[in-house]
Amino acid sequence: MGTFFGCALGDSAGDVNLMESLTRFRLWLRSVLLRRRMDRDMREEMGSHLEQSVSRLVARGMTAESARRAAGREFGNLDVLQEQARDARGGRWIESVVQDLRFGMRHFARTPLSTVTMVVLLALGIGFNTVLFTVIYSFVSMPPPGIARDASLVRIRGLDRSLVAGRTYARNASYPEYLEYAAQRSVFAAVAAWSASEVALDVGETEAQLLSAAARYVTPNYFEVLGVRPHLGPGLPAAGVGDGSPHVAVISHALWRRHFSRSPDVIGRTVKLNEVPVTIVGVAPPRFLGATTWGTEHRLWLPLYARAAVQRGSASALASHDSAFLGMAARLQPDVSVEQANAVVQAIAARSALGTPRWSAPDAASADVAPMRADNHTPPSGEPPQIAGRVMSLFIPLLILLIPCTNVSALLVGLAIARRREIAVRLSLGAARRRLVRQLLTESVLLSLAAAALGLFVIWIGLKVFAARFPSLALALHPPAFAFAFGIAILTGLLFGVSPALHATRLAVADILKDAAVAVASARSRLQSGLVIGLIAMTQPLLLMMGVFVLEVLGDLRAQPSSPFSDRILDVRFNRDRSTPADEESLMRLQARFSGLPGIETVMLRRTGGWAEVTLSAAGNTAGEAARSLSFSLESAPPGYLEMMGIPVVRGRSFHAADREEEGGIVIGRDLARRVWGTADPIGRRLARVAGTSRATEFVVIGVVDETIAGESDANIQSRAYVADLAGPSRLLIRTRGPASPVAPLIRATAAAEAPQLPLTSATTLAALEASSRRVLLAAASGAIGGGVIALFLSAIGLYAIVAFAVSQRTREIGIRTAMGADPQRVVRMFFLRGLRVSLIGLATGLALSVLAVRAVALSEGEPPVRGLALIAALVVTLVVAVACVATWVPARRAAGIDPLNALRAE
Amino acid sequence: MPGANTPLLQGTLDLIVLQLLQAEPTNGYDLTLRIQAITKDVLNVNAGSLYPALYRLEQRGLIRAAWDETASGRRAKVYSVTASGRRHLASQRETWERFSGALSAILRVT
Repeated sequence: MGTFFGCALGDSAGDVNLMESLTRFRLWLRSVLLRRRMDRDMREEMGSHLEQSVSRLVARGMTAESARRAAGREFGNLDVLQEQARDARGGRWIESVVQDLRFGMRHFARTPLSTVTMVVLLALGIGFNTVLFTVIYSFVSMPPPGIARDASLVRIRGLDRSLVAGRTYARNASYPEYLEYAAQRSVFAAVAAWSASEVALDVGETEAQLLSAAARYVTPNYFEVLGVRPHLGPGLPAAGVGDGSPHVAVISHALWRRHFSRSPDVIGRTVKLNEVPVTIVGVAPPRFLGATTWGTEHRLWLPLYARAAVQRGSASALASHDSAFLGMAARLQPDVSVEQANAVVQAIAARSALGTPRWSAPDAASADVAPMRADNHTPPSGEPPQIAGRVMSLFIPLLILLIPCTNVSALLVGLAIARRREIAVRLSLGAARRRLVRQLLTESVLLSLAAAALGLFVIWIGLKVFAARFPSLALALHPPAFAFAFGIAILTGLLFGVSPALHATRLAVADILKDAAVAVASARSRLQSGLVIGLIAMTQPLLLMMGVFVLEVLGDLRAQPSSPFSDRILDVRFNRDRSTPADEESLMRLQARFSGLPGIETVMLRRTGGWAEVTLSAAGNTAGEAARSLSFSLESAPPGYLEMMGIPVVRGRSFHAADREEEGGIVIGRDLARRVWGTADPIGRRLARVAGTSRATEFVVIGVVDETIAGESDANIQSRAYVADLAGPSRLLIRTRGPASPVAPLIRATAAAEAPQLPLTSATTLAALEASSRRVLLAAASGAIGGGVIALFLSAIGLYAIVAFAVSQRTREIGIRTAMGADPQRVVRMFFLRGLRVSLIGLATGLALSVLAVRAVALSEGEPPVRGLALIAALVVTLVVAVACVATWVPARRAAGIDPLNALRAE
Repeated sequence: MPGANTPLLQGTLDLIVLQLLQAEPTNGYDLTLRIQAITKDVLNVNAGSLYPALYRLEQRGLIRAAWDETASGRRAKVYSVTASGRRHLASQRETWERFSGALSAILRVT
């Protein structure tokens, strides 16, 4: 009957409108926030009720004393009643949460060291992880800096599959090809194109002040397509304004900042680009570097038609299918998807390729459409190692987070074990198990939140550092990245809080209270030993992988063998897109002219190959040797080059003036020779070219050099070989008698006077070039090194905390032993040895795991394991053992040092 | 005397409180007296049930409370029915009348 009535009540209460819900919410809020006042009100109300009852009874003739008693009897137990009333008001759970929080805080205040350790560990883990995640995420999912994220903004990328079978490379588009894309109005709302060149920029007002800068020759709609407005000035002229008018340019914010001291007067000023006067008509917004970010931050954007004048090219380049020099970006029409655009672009690319002999193979030239991102200027080459590498780079931050997570969980388990007694007391006093679990959970969440808050600070610092180091990366704080990091933090807290909480509350109360039960004690020490072993085993492979990573980066830094004369050699580059016979003639003339200058020892004209990676098959040289592919970079070594660079020829000879590239003479490095032919004489051996851009199809080894001296170095090149000559743009190398840098101005002046049509873009010593490339590498490596150091630091803290904790847990045992007359020194030694044994078991397990991990990394990168692995492994082992030793020794000493009586009372 | 009381049917206390407060806003003590008086001591609602009921109704927004002076010059919390409380009471009364009618009909069956 009651149930029926209750149902009826419930049904009719269902039609509450919005106002009523709001009222209820307000009331709920009041009951939560004004809890104290409402409690006071309630007590006053009930007090007044009692008084009224009393006075009524007195009026009926009772004595005051008996009236009060009767009223009290009638009213019932005031405290119980008030409790019921509070329940009726609702919101009780808030109170218990507050209680839990207060209790948790008290607990943390009692154990400050482990609390701080856990918070710091987690904060560093969360912070570092979020920063790395944000950087990686920004790189793969954000457009280049200064460009707003927009799904309709895409790149059109030229693809070239003609170079090496199975690989795709980027190619530029020709102007006619661009026009064909731009004509697809049903697919693209607008298509912009640009051409990139290096220029010599003269910002001096009265006398020349030369800078090396990057010029982008762009279509009139370039800024509009990228959705960028000039920070200052009107910007580039609209379409239709063509030749004849003076040249104009928009300069990059960095250029404006550094060389025009942010002056607004810069608009209208004239600078010289490759000696051509150009008027500045705008300053690009901060951080904007265009659709491609590589290269210098000193940039200028000019109309496409200015290219012929500034770069000394021919205007007819715009009409030819053969001269491909354009990158492209586009806005899609509203309802067009990237996939649809892709299909259209592919069809056009295939058709436009027909006109040019270079793309005779079907499918050799293609194009695709991809959303505008910072790192997708070049298409993915389709090599599996790169994908694995990318996966690895995503894994490393997760691995770093794993270290503090395991550390914190181990600490929490340890703490929960330590609190078993407290929990048992509370259980025996009648605390509900659920309530206890909730209490422990609250503490864990509290811990994670504190760590997350501190992590925010770490993130802030980390992002600042990254933003300063990588101007070409638009760092954005991504809600998903933050949600990820904080989700992980809370999840860590919950996961690692729940398991010990459940474990601790499941134990038999009596056993723990006695704490004498042998089973419990041994189970506890087993669990703790297991924890220590597990932690050491887990930490080790992570540290090892970090070490390998750092070592690789450091190896790259070190592997920059330079010429012994690097400060005496000037690398002089000229700005040309293609070598014309006239240009070659000018260069020869300059060579002769430079040779006559004072202080100059040698001047060499050297062509650098554009595409210079060659796969060779060493098959058929010695009987029974299987064919194997080798890949190395080909460089030209005109006669005298090796000598000029100071590269020693250890066998055979270097090139003579009579050697031709077609003859296939090749000089290889000692390492390569050893790899292919072992100790046998490599001179006269033949290598067949499988792929590459060399004119020769077969090479004959004529010499072997010591490749530790590489002349012009490039960190990306693993092994190199020299041929007599290559097709490609040439530059001049000048070796001076003394330091080369003072000669540079003279070289510039002479070049400007002798060959004004051939703009000199840079004259830098090899030493300076190497230093700058090392700086770039160091900047890129700092993240990895920082990560490694943080991982090391985290592991050391965690390991110390856990081992020390496990030992200090046995204070009682130490106390008993010393009380029974054991020599403290011996007790310490015993604990030390026991701790060491546990650490060694962990090490052995970890070492096995490490070997597997390193194998996996090597496999995914497709590279042989790094040299120095043994060194890293030894370092890691030493570190782990050292930390474990200190962590065992210190608390054991302390425990043995205290009064046995205190030790016995300790728990 | 309390032994002679008829126990309250579950859920009816809310109805009683709302009905009496709609007739005249008053305080908790007065409410217990009135229930006794009107039901001629058949129903005796003690403070232990009344106050939780009052707070529950207040929390649901069906009644509201304000501090006021009683006739005897004593400060007391006076409860009155809100608009939504009146709507609630009306629907509850209807439900109750239907229910009690049905129950009487059943009890008349012999």
